[in-house]
Amino acid sequence: MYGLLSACGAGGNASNVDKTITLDDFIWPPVAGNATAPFNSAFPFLQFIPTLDLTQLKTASQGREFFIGRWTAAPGPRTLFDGLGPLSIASACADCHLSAGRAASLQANGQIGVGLLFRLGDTQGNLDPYYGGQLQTAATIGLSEGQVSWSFNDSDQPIFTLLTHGPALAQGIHLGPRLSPQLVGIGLLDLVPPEEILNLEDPDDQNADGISGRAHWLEVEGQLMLGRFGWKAMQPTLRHQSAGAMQQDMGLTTSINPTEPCTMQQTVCAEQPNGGTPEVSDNTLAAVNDFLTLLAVPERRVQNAQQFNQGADIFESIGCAHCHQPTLTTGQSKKYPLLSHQLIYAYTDLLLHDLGEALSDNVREGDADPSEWRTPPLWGLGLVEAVPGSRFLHDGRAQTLEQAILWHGGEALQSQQKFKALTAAQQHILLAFLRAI
Amino acid sequence: MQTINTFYYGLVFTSALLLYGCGSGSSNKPDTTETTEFPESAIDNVAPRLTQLSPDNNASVHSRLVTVRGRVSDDNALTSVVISYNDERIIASLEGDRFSAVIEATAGANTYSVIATDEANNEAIASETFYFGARASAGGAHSGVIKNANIYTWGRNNKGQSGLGFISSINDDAANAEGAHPIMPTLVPVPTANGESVKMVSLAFNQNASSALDTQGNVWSWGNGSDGQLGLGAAGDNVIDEAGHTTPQKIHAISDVIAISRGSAHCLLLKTDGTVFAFGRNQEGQLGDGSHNTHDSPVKVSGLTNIVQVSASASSYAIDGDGNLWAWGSNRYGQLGNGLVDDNAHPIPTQILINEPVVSVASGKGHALALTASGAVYGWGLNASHQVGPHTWGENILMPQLLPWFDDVTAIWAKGNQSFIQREDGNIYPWGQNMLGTLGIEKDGDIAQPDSPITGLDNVIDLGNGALHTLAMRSDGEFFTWGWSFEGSLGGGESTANLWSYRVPLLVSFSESP
Repeated sequence: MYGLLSACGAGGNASNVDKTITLDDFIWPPVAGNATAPFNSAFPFLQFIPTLDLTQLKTASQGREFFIGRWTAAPGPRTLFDGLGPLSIASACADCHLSAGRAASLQANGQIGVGLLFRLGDTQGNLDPYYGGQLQTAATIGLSEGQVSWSFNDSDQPIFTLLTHGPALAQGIHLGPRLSPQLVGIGLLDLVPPEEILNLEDPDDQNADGISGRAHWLEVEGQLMLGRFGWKAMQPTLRHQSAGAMQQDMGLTTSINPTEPCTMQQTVCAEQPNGGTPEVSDNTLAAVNDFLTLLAVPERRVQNAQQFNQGADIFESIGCAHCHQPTLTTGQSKKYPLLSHQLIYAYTDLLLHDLGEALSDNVREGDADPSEWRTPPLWGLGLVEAVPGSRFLHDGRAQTLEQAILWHGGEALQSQQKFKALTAAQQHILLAFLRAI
Repeated sequence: MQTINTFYYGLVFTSALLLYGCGSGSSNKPDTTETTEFPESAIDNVAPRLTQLSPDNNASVHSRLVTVRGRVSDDNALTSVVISYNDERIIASLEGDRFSAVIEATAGANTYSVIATDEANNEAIASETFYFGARASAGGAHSGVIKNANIYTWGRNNKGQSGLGFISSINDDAANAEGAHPIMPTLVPVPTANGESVKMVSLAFNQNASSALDTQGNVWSWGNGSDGQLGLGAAGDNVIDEAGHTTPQKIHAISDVIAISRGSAHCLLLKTDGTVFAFGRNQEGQLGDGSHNTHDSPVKVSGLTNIVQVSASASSYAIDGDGNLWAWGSNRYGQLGNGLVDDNAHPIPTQILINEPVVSVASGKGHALALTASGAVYGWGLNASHQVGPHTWGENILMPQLLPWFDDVTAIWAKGNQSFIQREDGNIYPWGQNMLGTLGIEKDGDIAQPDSPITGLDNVIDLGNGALHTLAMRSDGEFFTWGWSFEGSLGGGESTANLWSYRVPLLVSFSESP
């Protein structure tokens, strides 16, 4: 089942030793091929691929500064860093995408941290006519669009309350909470060929396993593209994902998204000076992209190899691996050949799955129904869990990996029930596996 | 290392050559397995083995006196190791399997060969290259490198220090600008002498002034001319020429120079005869001529002979051929290493006492480092930013302090409030002030003890240190920069933010092939 069983001691002397391959003999390839880095607890998610030569880091080094740098409203002292807002959520990419753990989301006092943003939409995919498709909770001048607070309901689901600084949301428009992910290995996922993802599709559940992953097709500049990034796979490439976040989270325009995150009814964007047309040049966007592409994936933290292998077994046997596909393989990268054809253990199929009513938020995005979610990659998740305040699932309702598993419904209901049916020891082994990948 | 395969050479120089008839003559990779076919009583036809030659790889050396080192071994007994350099043959001393010999470098590229001979007259020859001079240099916020004997500059140009023929700023309106502000490496127009293009070998930038040394031993200056620091004035006219220049100007008053170093407002010149000349500010006695009169043309530093390296800051330093270290000029932070701090002028070189021979000296704004023959480093002077070591050692360190961290240092650099050393592992370890990415490491804040090498930087053959930014040259000829990006100081082009710290070294792109 591991696919790449390799016998130890190849080339050794012939002997009478029993050469039966056991689980313990399985040698796991690096978690992300050439892009694997030794685990560094200080900044596991923001380290460059260690084997890269500095000559290949040039734009990535610049991209790193754009990523961690604080952007300012235009006109600012640094033209490369101005154009923030007027409506935004954060002023630096690194505010929401930390080098370790996850940015604050559901805070104890009922406040919402910068690590949780809100889409605005209805079950048909319509956006709010005044505020648009996302709530901007900060402004460089005047008032933001509003603030959200939260509390748990009786079934431990977070209930969000919006206080707008303008008109109320239109009838039928809901808040769609979206937790900021760690950006580990995102460049590798960008390099997975669409065919590989489409091979995993089973929209009509022809194999009758109850799981029917489907691609989220997007129309981008008149062309159909496979969505793969974001909670709803709304962005087809890392470049689009970055540009989308720049626009919606920071109020920064790009050649991909040349407009500010204002609707026609919001005049503040037109009234304020912009930081250039676009505010983020193609060079800057490419630099950020290079930075994200060259981020390494921290190596597994395996405490007990035998238990880790058992955990991998359980992961597969209870069906987690149907959606959280252990491996994908990258395609060709002309720019970074060392990232080409790498076997990566991301534990995702990058497809949409119906996760059931309990995880629906009544916001349809593109072709993704309110209860459909793109399988999030699982690598590095244990590192997130280990940082206090980290949360899981799209709205951050789960504080532990175990809670996150128990919220799985819909296509994942069977697996969730099988998880519950495991012995405590088996559950422990599975969770230890998840924390190590 | 351009090593000629020693085994093959063993064949060439012995009568056993014919035993290898199977086409090995055109290959320098003979099939070594054949050696097992020789009977044990065969004559020794295996040449000695030469390894670990240094300096190598075209690396920069900072002193004119260069110790060539390496390891040699032979199956039987060696008779000699000889260094062949510039038509000279120098017999190396042998200690166990280590050999060493001292040679006197010329400015620019140097090549030497090591010939090891054993008792059966088998010879092994290996050749290596090194470079005497600075192919990278940086000032307050301008930068320069030498590629193929041409100078390329970038960065601040408010005084014409980039040498491009105009003054410029990064915020210039391009439509009205005299020339495009250099945010990337830009070729400095080549001066001509006797109708031929001048070939440059070494740079010395500091603050807003620049100097260069050419292959003929002439010195050129440009940029800010205050305090006569360009050295272009007429001697004895009682007027200090403080004119600035936007292109390299030849200093006609001196020749036969082999090394240059630029301080905060003065310049030191080492001549081939081992004497030192200086020009520029002299308020602190940094010209070492016994006075504190500023000079706009070179004056002789008194009492120094047999000098092999000079280094300038607000003070001046020189090493002689016996490894003695001399200092003069400012002692505001204890730079003279004499146990005192004062604001007096110190216009006569005095010796700094260090227990073993000094082979290299480097000086920052107010501190200095000395590398000894054994690979140890001493530091003294200003320590406000931990540029010498922990604050527990003092704010100013008045006597050379042996740095306890390393005994395998191969090169040292200092500028501003930063210190850099290279160890035998080839890595660069920085310490000192680190608020603007100046040390090129992930960590924030000043570093009191060098324990993290610069991110991703290996095979470094020289650094060019600026006040807040640094250049590194790699053995493949690539240049990298890090630190404070101001007016294009890092040479990263349009995607590099102005007024911003870069701590991961940036590749410097040369838009045109030099």
